[in-house]
Amino acid sequence: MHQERNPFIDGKLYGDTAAWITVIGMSIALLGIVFSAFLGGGVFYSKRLMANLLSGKEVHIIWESSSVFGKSPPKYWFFKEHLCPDVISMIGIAIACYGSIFGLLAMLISMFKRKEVLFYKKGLYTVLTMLITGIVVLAALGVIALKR
Amino acid sequence: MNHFLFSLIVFLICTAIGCVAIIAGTGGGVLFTTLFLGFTSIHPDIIRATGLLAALSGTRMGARRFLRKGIANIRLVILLGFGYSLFAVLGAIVGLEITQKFGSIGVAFIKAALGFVVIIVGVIYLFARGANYPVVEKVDWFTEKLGLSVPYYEESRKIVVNYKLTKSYIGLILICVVGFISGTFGLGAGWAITPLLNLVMMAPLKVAVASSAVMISIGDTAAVFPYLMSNSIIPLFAVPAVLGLMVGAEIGSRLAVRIRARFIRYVLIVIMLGTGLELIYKGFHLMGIV
Repeated sequence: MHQERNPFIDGKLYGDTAAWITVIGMSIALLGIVFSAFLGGGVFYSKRLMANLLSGKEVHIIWESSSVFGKSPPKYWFFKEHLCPDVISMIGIAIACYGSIFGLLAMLISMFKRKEVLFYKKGLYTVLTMLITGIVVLAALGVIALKR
Repeated sequence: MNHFLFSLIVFLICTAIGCVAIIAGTGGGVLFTTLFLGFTSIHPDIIRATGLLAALSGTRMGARRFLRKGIANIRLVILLGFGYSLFAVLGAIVGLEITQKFGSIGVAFIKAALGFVVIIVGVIYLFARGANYPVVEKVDWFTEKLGLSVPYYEESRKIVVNYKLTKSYIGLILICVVGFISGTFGLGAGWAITPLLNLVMMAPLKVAVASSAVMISIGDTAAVFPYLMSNSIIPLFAVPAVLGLMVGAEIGSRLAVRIRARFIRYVLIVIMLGTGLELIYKGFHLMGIV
């Protein structure tokens, strides 16, 4: 029974970590939206953005004509810009996206703490968890991405 | 229209979508992507990115509850989650490639193809009847070797349920297809994963629902990053949409116990079939076929 309880703890760690980081991230993103209602977004020209959004313009056109950049910015642009409501929203969204990565890392650490879980079925589930984490991290780093 | 009003309207529409979806027994992501692609002009890349963000945020909340209670089978999640994550991210890249390389023809293709997928989803909802505790007569050699089963405590019956799983090799193949569809069209995939786990691998219905939520919360995280990298997530649209779907799901789960879920489910099926046909028509119209 002891061996059966351990996956339960690993899963719980993943669930708690991923969910709380998502809540924190989305709360920050909401804060950005509320600030932008009073202070203006800082990055987007909101009227032009809404018009372009609702008329079905492509993503790069939206960025070209509705943002201060005048072009589609590089990946993770919001970590390099001065803090403003739109930047706060994007940072929040990014944090929410990272939730599962931190959850998976917490699960891996927990797995490595207990031999009976680590080596269950010759470590098959530990290796698979490492591979899943690898895929998500590579996607987050933009290694697995659309090449332009 | 000022942008606060725009955010409020998106929030309210998505709250309604999230509420109806959860009562009907599906995720808000599927209905959101389908309805917004079918009935608005917003570019598919933005809708799909937001749909995936909604799917992963919503399922993480559900996953937490299921994992705390030990209902989700974490070994099953890890085994199938590998294929799901890999193919979801590949699907996202292919989906973006189609719209960005082929322009309006790519958009038309995505709409028409999603129309067919949505009709299939509607048909699955119409005919698939989950079995609470499927009986496994024979466990195949491969599944036996994987040692997948993890017993769980069934609160309603106050017993520990020991269950067997089977045909994991079929599950491994099918989950790759499901992951690819999820990433390409920006859909959550509970509509496919739950029947796959319950009807093919014979997991108890509760385990199938719970494990499906955890798997989507991981796999769709991988799929959302190519959209994030291509700047397809626009906060003014994405934040109220995701929050609306999450609030709607919370309201819906409270309302579900008081209203006739079966009726709502049939309404949802009609909406999905109707929207599916609308998407096919729009796609073919953009291609100049009709």
